[in-house]
Amino acid sequence: MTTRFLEAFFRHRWLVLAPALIVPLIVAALTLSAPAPFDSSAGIWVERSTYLNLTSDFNPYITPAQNQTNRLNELMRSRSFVADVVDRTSLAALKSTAAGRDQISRVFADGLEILPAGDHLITVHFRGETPELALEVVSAVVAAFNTWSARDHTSQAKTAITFYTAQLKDADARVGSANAALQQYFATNPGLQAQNGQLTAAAAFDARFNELQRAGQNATADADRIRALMRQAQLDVAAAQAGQELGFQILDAPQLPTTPTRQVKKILIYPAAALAGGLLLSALLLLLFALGDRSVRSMAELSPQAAAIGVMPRLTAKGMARSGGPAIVRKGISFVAGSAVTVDTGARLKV
Amino acid sequence: MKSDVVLIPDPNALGLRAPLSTAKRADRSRRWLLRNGDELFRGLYTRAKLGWSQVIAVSSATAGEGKTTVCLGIASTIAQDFPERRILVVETDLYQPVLAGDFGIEERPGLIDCLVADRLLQPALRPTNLDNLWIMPSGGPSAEKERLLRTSRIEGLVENLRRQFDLVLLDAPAILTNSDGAPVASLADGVIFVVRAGMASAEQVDKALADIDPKRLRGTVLNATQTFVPNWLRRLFGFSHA
Repeated sequence: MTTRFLEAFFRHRWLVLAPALIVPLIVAALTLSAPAPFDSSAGIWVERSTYLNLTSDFNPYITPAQNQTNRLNELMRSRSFVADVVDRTSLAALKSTAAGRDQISRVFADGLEILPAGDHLITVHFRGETPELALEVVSAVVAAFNTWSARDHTSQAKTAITFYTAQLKDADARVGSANAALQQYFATNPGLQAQNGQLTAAAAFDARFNELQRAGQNATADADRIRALMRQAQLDVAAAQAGQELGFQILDAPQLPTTPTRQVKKILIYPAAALAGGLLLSALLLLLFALGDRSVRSMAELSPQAAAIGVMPRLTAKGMARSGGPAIVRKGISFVAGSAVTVDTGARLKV
Repeated sequence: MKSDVVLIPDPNALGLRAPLSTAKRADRSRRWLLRNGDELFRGLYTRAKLGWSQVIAVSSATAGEGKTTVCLGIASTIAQDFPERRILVVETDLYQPVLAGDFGIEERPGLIDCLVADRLLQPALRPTNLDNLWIMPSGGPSAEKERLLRTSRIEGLVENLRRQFDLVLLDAPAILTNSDGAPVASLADGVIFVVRAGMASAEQVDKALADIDPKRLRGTVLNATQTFVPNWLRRLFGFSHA
């Protein structure tokens, strides 16, 4: 088997080696000739929502950065968000055609990377053909995400305000009724309150009074808590409307890249991968040549009944061109033993 | 007169692109073919145990395996080794004749003409540059050639030739591609089977050999073997290309 593979390799050596030589060369040439890209990135600080925890889409078991990264990556898969981002860049002109939309998809798929860089920090990174495009896309993604986050928070905050308003109304009603019940109890039990308005010692031992007093305090505390939450929601709405999303701060603003990114990895990895692929292809070719050739090439491959009596090596007559083909030796023998009568087209040589 | 003159044919007639530009190169080719090559053919006819008054067919499984080369090589070598013996090469492949073209002679008269006439036509026996070697081209054309080699005429002709020559070599058609192959092989006292390396598969060879009487088979010649593996690597792995 070794012989067969060696023979196949050396017989078709250039064909077998061609993929291993040509593919890496082509890939290396393409890699080196490709224009160097430009990178731009931004860092965003995100916080967990502080209100409406029950309805929040935050997963409490992962960090805010991971949560928001997942959210932003999901948004990047939606047509509407991508359209919003594209509208903020020079790519907007491409939206009108199908080919342009495909190009936009490729640009984002190949160049955009959104990753958490800690518990609260998200990095948005884009690699584009031009520095302007890199800056535009990162800025657009951050701005769109900010807008969409603000819109979501505003919506949620408004819902929260509505909810808290109703809650607060109920709480205030509970406070009012508790106070009314307490006043009524005072009226029916005048001994609980002294002339100066202070509670008497008997009040401390009046279970009913204490119960009414606790209910009033609880209702007041509940109303205060709801009021505080509502204030937070109102603050979020106000901040969002002012363009300052709370819990969403751009720490590192995207900048215009001034020099192209060095692609050492790409220059090394792509040709190396192409070499590996080329070698694999060469190995497959060799396998094909070795196993696909079922012709007899040695006496060992002849069956015993063939009774081999000899081997004639491939004869190549010196001085005769190989281009004469396989019949050249036969013609040579014919020439040597040729008819002396009719061959008269050539020169004669005396020996 | 013929013995001291070597004819250098027109290179185009040999299918050569590069002309035999100098007498030195042509002479080198001639010496190689007649001396170095002879030893190979000499070994073949020795191991095939060829004897006088025999009719030997040279056949193969498929066309283009080198039957005619081996046949002519053996014939010319024997003719040189035994100048007193008369050797004849008969081309029995009626469908792909090459001898007339190779030797630069007229196709007719030849084997077909002899079979049609049902007698040996002396002009069909063509002399060669070697005094004791003759060739008989296939001749033709004939409307009957599909069945000429299956008639009793061929048997009579072969017997006639056996009487006139010390050794008759039949350049037979390929067995698997020409239905005349097996009948022609059966006319001979012995069959030398030619297998061109890298051409026919072992299955094809076995199938063709099954059509030959094992008692007639003188042996198989593996023709045109060639290795591309460098010598040092062959020594390392301990194998030869044969």
